[in-house]
Amino acid sequence: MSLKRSMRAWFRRFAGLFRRRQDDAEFAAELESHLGLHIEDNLRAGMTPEAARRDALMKFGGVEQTKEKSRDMRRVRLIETTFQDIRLGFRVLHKNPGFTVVAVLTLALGIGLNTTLFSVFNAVALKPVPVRNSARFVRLERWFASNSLGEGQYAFSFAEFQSFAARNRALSNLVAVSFPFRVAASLPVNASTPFSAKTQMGAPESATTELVSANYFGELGVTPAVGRLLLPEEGRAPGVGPVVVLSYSYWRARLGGDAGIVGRVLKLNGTAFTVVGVASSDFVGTGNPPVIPDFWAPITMQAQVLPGQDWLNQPLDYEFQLLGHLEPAIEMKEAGAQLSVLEHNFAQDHPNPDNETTSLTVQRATLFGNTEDFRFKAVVTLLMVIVGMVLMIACANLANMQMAKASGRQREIAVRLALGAGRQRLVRQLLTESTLLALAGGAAGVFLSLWDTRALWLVAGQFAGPYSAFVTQIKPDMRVLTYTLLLSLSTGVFFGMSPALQGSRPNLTTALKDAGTAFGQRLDRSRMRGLLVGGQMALSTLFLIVAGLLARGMIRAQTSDPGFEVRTVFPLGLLADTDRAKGIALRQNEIARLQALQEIQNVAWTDFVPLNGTWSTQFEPGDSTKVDPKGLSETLARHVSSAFFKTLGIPILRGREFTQAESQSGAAVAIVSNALARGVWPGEDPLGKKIKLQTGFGRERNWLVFEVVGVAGDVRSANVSRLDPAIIYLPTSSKNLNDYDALLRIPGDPREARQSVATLLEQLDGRQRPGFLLLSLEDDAVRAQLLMARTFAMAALCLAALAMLLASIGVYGVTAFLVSQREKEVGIHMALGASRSQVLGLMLTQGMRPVLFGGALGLVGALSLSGFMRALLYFPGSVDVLYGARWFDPATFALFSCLLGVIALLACYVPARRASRVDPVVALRYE
Amino acid sequence: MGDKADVWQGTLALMILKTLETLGPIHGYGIARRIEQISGGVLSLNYGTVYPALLKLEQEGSIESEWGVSDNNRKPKYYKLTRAGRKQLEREARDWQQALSILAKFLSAAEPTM
Repeated sequence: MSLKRSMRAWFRRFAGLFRRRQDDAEFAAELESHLGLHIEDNLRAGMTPEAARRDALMKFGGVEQTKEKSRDMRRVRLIETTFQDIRLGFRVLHKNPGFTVVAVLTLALGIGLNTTLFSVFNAVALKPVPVRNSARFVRLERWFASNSLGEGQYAFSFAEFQSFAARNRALSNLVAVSFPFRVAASLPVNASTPFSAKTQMGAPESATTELVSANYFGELGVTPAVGRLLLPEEGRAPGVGPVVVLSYSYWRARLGGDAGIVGRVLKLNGTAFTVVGVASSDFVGTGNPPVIPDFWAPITMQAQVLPGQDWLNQPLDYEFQLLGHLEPAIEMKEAGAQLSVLEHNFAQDHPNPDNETTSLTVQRATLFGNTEDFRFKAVVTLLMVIVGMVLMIACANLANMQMAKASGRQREIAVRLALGAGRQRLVRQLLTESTLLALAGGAAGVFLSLWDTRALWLVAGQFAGPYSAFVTQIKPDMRVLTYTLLLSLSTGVFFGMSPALQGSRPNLTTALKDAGTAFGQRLDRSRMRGLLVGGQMALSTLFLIVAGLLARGMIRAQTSDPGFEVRTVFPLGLLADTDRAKGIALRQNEIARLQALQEIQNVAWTDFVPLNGTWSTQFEPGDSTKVDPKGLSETLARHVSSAFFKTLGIPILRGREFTQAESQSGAAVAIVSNALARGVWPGEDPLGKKIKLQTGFGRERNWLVFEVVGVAGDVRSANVSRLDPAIIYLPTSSKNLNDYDALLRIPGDPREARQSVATLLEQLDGRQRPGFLLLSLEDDAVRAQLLMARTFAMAALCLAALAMLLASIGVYGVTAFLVSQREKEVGIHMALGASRSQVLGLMLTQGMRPVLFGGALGLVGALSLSGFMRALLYFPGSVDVLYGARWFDPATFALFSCLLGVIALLACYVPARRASRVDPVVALRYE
Repeated sequence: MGDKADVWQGTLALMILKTLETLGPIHGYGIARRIEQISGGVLSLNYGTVYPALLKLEQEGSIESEWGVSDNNRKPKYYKLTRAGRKQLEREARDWQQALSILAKFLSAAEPTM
């Protein structure tokens, strides 16, 4: 009721904005007539004209005040003054271009980072997949009685798909798509000749494929870029429709965008498929995971694409995601309920006693599946807090700079207050200024985030493979822009509030008398400010030094060599059988046949593949039955077969390798690394010595004595970052054969070897292995570890650069504030004969004090971090992220602290120089 | 005076509405005069304060105005109640009466009879 009334009043007031002159005139006329009526009455009562007029005016009260009051009431004062404030704000910012640029850049950084994180979050969890009518496009999710969560919740069997598709009334058209999987794809060598049985196919390459129902593209509203998409009859029966649709990105990257590809034939896992078309460039698949597959093939070709699997006839083989558009009148909840009934009916015919499904729900189809997972939410929250803190620091720095400016404007503000400006009005004006800055910063931040999301994505792509579905999705949409706008506005208020409140509260008399600014206002907040700057300096010193150390590590990593053969050694998981004895027999047979292959030079087996892990344990020299806890040392250990050293090319420096018999029986002999031998028996011959070693895990834990029979060269087998500090090799035993992986030394063309190994394995267990791949140790482990080193260093450098930038802005802001506060004091100094350089020195000392304090703190932090990291190296298996560079490298420490010091000094010097240019006459004029 | 102002603001609107109900369409001067007379000169009213109150009531839609011609060719603005204003008057009068009667009971019961 009263809300309605006040709404009406506000509406009229807004309307009043556009007719203020007319309103003013009308009101004046009304008052005029009021006075006229009153005067007439008075005259009638017998007053003299003069007295009548005076009495009317007196009775009325203030005419002008009444006019003013009604004017305020007739329209929205806020809007009018806001326009004034904005105009004034622009003028002020325009007059201080230096400040404006620095402030906008700082804010751009802070807001840009937040925007970036939000747009990633948006693309991952909020945006629907880019298909027709995406707002109502949903993905089915199942809930298990076992409460198991994750990918499995989105997987359904082909029989379920068919059953639901025939009966469901909730979704207009159900589509099925498999999770992406790898196939071996071979393209014709000469694409221009028509396909025949004799067509020469190129070497198979690994490519990603998804199986889709024939209605997939039609329902999603995808158009072909070239050719056509799938036809309904291509999904009619198993085995019909040997066709594929290519993704746009694969077509461009692998086939150079050749439009003639339509109608050509390629082979997927050995079966010929005809290319019918290419999907349009903006179609990035339906996500979960967010991969754009290279090929889409009809679901009915499953047996040909993946020989050996039978997805279509196993009602409990959950391989497909089901998606569809909600029917117009159906909401998500209802759709879930209807589908749950269908699932229940399905389970009557095909019960799954091991993993019963309790219900189905639908959720909006986003590029990632499970974004409701709490781990995902936790990570997002953590990241939000971090980037939020960056923005907070940026805000604090700006508040300092604003404060410096505000104290310079104190006289202007005092005059305005004295002339009757309301405090509220002044605060609003100062806030308008900071909000303008924040909006400019936000706009710049959007551009920054456009750029750095791309960069971020390239980095992420290095790790996660071609998850390029994102790049098209990460473009900011309305939601991101709204977020940025709100963030900018609140930023403006946040960093502007404190300076505005402070700036508009000068003691009128002292500010006007001009005594206050210099001595009266003690710098009670300067400690706070100093702490802020000191903290920033400490953090950036720490970051910068650590980043410098990591960068040195990265450089060393590029040339780090494991010390054994990685290029020609291929790890291979051996065949398995649920029965232990059968498994051992199978593996023995497999190893024997592998050794017989002529492409393979050596076959070795070990419990941990080098660079993929080891085990560590404790040992003690000697063979006494008692264990002396003080004599124990940590070592890495590995069970190896006799051919291990030959296969990997690790030299035996003294003694001998294990014999074949020893690596069958698991004899009590050991080969130790050179480093261990030198450490334990300095100057003695280690051969023939006894060592006591704890072996086995859990209940099989046991102290056993081994005789040293050989010394092996030092290599980097635990990880590529450092030489194994100590390692003991023990012989394998054939009764543990089930625990080992094989290492194959293949000096020739690995592709030929891959073919013969795949054939061999097929002969052994009858399973076809079309996508069989062999990855050398180098391609697999070494590369991943070096990439990790590079990414660490790059991330640290980016962080350090950001911290340094913020810290120097902070230093600048505080020094500028100090200088502006002490202008008059400087004037007195100079009037009393201080030279410019003395004044400069005074200001620099003041400004640099927190810098030095923070820098020292950061140095201490960096030293302790270094100490901690070095202490971690005590564990023989831990990774040395510096790749052997010294943790306490004096050059790195000195160089980066000095660099930071110089930058801080510059940031301090710019405002300090202004102090030294103070003209004592001007500064003291009002005293 | 200062702490009376709030009550005064609220009651002024009510007095204006009541005046308009009793006298029908009338100009601002007439309203001010009427309020002063009714109060028997107890209230010392600045006539000027009537106008912001009228403006507020008009913005809220309780009254409406039009330019008229008075007896001797002046052009005052005449105000009259709207339907919404009439309802508002009824409600507020009722509220006030209720409040006053409660207060009256309260004050008369203030002397305990022990």
